[in-house]
Amino acid sequence: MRPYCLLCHHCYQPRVSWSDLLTLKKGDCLCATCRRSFSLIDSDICSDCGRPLDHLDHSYRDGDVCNDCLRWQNDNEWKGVLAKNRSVYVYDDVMKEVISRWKFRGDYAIIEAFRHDVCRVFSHHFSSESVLVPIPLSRERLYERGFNQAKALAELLSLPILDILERDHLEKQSKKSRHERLQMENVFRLRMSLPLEKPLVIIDDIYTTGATVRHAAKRLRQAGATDVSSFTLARA
Amino acid sequence: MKDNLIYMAVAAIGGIALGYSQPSLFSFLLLSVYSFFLFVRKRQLFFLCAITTVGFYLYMIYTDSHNRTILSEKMNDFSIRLIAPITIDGDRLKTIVKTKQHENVQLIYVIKTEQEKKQLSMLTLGMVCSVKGTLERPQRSRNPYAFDYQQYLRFQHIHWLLKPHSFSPHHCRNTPRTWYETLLSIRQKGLDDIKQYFPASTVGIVQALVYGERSQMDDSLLEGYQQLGLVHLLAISGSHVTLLVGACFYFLIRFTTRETATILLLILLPVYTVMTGASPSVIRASFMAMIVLFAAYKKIAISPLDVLCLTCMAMLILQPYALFQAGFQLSFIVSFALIVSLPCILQFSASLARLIVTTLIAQVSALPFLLYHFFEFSLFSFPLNIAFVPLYSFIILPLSLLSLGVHYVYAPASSPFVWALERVITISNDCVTFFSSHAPLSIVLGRPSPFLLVCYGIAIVLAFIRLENKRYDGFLYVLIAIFCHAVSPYIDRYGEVVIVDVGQGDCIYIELPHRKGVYLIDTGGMLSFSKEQWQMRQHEWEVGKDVVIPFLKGNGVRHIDKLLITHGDYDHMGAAKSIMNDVPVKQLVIGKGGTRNSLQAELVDVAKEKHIAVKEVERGDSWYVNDFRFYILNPSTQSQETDDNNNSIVLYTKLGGLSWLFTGDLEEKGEEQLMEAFPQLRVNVLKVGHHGSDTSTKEPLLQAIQPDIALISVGKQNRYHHPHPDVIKRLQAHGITIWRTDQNGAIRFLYTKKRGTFTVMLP
Repeated sequence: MRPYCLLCHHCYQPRVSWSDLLTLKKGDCLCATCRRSFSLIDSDICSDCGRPLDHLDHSYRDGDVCNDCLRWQNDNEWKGVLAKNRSVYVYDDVMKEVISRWKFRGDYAIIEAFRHDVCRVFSHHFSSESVLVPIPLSRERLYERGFNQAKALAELLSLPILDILERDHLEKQSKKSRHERLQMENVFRLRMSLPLEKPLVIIDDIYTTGATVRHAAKRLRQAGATDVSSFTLARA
Repeated sequence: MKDNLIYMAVAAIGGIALGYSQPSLFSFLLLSVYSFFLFVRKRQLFFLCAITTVGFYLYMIYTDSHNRTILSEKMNDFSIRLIAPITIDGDRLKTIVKTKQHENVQLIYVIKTEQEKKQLSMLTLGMVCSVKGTLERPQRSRNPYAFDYQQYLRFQHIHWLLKPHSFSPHHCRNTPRTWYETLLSIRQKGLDDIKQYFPASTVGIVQALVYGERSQMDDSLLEGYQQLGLVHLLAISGSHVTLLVGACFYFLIRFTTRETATILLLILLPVYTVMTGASPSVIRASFMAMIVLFAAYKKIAISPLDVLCLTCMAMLILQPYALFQAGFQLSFIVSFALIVSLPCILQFSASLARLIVTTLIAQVSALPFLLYHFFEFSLFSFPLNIAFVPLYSFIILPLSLLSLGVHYVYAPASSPFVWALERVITISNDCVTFFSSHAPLSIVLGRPSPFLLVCYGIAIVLAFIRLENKRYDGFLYVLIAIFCHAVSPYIDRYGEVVIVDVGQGDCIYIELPHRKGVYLIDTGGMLSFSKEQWQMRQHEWEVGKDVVIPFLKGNGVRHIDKLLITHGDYDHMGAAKSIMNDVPVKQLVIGKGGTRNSLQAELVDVAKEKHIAVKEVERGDSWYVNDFRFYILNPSTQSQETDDNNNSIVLYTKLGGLSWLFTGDLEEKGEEQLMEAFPQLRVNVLKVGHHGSDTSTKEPLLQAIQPDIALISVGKQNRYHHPHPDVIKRLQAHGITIWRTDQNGAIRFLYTKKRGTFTVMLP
């Protein structure tokens, strides 16, 4: 039986490689066409937020830091809250479609398509000592969606997960402007105390302005954490 | 069964290999590693693979035990059927014939006159002839690393050479041909057409590319292609078959449905296989094409890797001995490596990058097999392949097919194509000749041991896995494996002395432990008798090229420290020139006053041209390396001896706890002088003087030096009737063990500092 592609549902011919034959690597669950449509972030990135820099005009960056991050750094309230952010894929039209299918339309199985890249990119940028802190959903949203996409991503990584954040139910982030997001009250609360010595990595699906992860990071820092960074599936 | 056939194919290969080789710890280890791998990786296939291995193992044992002759040496009268192409090369006719008893034998006939040669060219396939002649056993390999003719024929279920006393078409009659013979005679006709209508410089290449026939290619040119690792271009393989099948399919669907076109091609492919000489690479490519076409016809999806593995197993069932052929191994390993590396090659988008990566993968995967069979590889192989693969695939091959096709349709129209073809082939041949003769940059590594082969395998697979992540550092492992291979002789604590079987003549190879020194005493040499034009063969057998150099290269000899020429007889130094051409020599050693002999004088000139140091030695000279001392006992300038033989260099040394005396062609008079000068001389091993002639090895010498072992380097059935029975009697009377190259093939003494053991090629 030939496998079907998780995305396009067409039958496809997987290509065997040396590592398929000889190592324990699993075959890809996407056909070659769908796999190629994903754009990995693998070139120059902003050293702060992990945004790909190669298509960014020079007027929007300063050295290897993008203007967005400069704005965060110049703000005394937010300076140094988040050590860094790293993301796996570029949040382009394809990724937008794939993520919305996964998250909003509940095609949970698609997460398998991310597994290999997520693990690889994470281990490239973060220490294996890290403790993962997924961004939570409010109870209402969790009920509506059936699963927490950030926690699902964290579970791919086989590292300790610390589900200590809670959030109030508010309007969706994606319906707000940057300014609104920044002006927002911090919606996160801590459920318990932290293991202070370990580096913490906040996990989320998309990094757009960075407001969400910074709000979460701020709460963690207020609780005494010293090293807080974030890792997301896609970077807008 | 998705992509799982590979595990079964490997199991099948293991079964065949186990069935043919002697059981050893090494094969047991490999088998357990593979079982463990399967157990971890593909547990559901474990039993299937085990059954496959056992099945193929039993099948191989069954095939091998039934590969026996029913003919006997006493037979003289034969009724034979000509079933294979008849090649007449100079004064020799060779073909495979089927006897009345339905056993194939290899017929070899030396043609006596030019008139007879003309008559014999009228022989055709399907004729039945009655001949009188004798059956001879084919030669086994008489030297380490030499070609084993007996085994080669046995793999084709042939056990005898038939040598007719006379052979003429008058004793033959035509019979109806089988379809197979018909195809072969069409092929022969096609080859003749190419020879007749194409310019001489293109004939060999066009014949090779269209019919897979290389016999018309110039010997040194073919050697050049071989040396530079380009010879695969001259074999019909996957790209040919793909091109032809693609072109035919495209052509056929203009006239008929896809289904009919597929069926037509399925019928034509076996015909094509026979027409192109049915070499392993053609069979593989056609078989794979047939599976793909059949799968497309039946609308079954099958992956390329599974196609390859099915083909491999099918070929092993049809002809289990194929596994041991270089052609089979290279064809499958390169196809396998390319198919599995396909995802990796496709990561690269530029076509030049893809070409480079493809060439790299093909070259690296073939490396251990090339080293095993040919002992060396050329550094130019990689860059030249990058240039030649597209040249052959996109220009020379299509042009050859096109000009031949056009020639058959309307001959005059083909001339521009033929002209273009001639230009391109001339340029490419010139290029090959230039690189192979001026700077082949060959790296001689010798035949890798099984342990090294495993190292190569692991290193190469690791390199390919790394390459999949676009990391090139894995190739460092391959370089490390090559390095280990290159230094392995220097680590080896064994030295060896080999009396190389060069027929009538002398050639003794001495290697010190840890390769502290490599010495060659004499080179052998065969006087060729002047031949008339019609008698000249494409490839004239030559001791240096065909025996000594393969032996040296197989041993991984990159240079000779001293080449000692005991004296100027052709059977001792005839091959020296070709050896100096192929293997760097640091010093040429001849006896003092040796240049009086014209052959030696000529050799010294050649050596000087090549900037090889020449040293004349006499009694009293010696040299040493660590604890190994070598003493020259002869010639002596005081003796005023003028006879060449008695002026032979005589060498005394101690190796592996034994004392050795190498006497060249020393005769009675020389022996007397030797005993006079060294009355206390005692030796354990005596290289018997002058091939066991009665004029040497006289009683007084034996009494004086009291050897335990006598080594005689002598040709089988030589014209001088050496060794003389009296010499053998004298040796036997002293209770001396005798080893003879005519009976034992090469004699090898493997030693460490204190002790050593003798082995012979033909026990």
